[in-house]
Amino acid sequence: MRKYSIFLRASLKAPLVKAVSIISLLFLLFLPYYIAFYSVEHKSMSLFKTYFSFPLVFNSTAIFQFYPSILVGTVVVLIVTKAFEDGVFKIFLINGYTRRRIWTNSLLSCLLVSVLLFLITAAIAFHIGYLKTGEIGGFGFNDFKWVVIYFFQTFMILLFALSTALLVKHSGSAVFVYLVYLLLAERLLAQFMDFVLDLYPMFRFLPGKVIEDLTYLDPNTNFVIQYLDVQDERWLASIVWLIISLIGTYILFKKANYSR
Amino acid sequence: MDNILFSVRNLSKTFHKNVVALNEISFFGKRDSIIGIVGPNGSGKTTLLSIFAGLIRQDHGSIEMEKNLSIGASVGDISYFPHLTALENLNFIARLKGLNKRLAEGELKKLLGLVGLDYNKKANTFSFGMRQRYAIASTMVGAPDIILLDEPTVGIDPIDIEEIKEVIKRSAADRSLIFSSHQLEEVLALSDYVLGLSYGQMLFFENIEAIKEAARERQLNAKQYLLEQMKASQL
Repeated sequence: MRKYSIFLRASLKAPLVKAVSIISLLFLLFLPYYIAFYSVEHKSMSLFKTYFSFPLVFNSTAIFQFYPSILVGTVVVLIVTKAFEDGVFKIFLINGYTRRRIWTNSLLSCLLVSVLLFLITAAIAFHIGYLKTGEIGGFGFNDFKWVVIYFFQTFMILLFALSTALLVKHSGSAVFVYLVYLLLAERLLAQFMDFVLDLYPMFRFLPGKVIEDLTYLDPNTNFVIQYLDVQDERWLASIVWLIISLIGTYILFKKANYSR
Repeated sequence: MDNILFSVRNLSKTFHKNVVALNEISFFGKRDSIIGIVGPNGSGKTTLLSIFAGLIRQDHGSIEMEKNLSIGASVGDISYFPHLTALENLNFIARLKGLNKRLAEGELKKLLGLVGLDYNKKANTFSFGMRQRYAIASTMVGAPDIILLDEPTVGIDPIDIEEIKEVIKRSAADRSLIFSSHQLEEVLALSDYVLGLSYGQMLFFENIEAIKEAARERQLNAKQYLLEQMKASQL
């Protein structure tokens, strides 16, 4: 893993990867603060104050951190596709790495990044909650579970990014497919499965839908409320997608053409 | 036989079930020797080197060598991080090989000096010739016992070719170097052994002296002799 981290650090120096990484980090660190304090206060949407107080602050922060997670996934797509395009994985193989070792190190990297994002999100949620209420609260699992679910969601997104990179291989096309699927196609597909094919709740098993961000119009205030919803089948969906991703990425790493 | 570093036995590879890339290839490599693999395009040179480098797997056959032997290889397109300098790229390979960064840096600068490449040059500004020079340097990181070079002089201007040939000769000291080419003169000028391939079939694996002797017997020069051997295989 130590040697693989040398590869990751070298990859992060590429201008495009560096730019997307910095943007991701900035979004990750400041987006929830921005929404919790600036835009909400600015627009005098006092209703939202509740959503950034304990215990709902965990739910609200996790919703906004979904978008930086997608950006971090873009970094994963870029690193892996560039490694194929520039022949860097070939250097690994020539120097004694096995395909299986590249696979395990890639998965471990995704896992570590997910843990890091989880810790950042948890810390930000605590901090915003504290600033809003002046007290420390929300240590119960029922309150905190939203951030734990966010960890699973992020890990799924990163594994999906890894799979897309391995399937498409060309960096530009892979980023396009990855972003279009997660930001647009999956939502349309979910709508289609639900309303046209009447396959409710099958759409909940799509890889980006481990957390579903639901919106509804509050009839009393006319505000659009956004919240996370987690049903039991979503835990099952996480496990199913985890297994599919593990087997799928293993086969793709094994079968990939490294000799270009 | 003394000084044998590796033996390739009956190596075969078929692509897409019926395209024979290599068929029962056998040869060996000695320390302090250069093996030139010669053959027309599509003869299986790159496939052979790719299998040797561990990039693709053979269907049958084996490559036997001691476990502690190390390989440096440049096969197919030349691989590097385009946004890093020549030295940073070699440093990456050195770290993969487990070499200490500080200790390796001096050695890596020497290597780049040997191939005549500025160590601060960004890889994305390399010319074609520089890329080939970098490829040779990259195979020598960590002083491997076996070096594999795939068409190291292809697309290079004549002045650079002579320099690269010199570098290849010097690189073979105390190791076995295998390179592929479709230039017969180049193979004859550099090699101690020549492996002839055509459409995945092994035509010959001969000591250069034996090739010259056989050519003399037939009142041909070595190039004419090899050319005749290769043409005969296509009939």
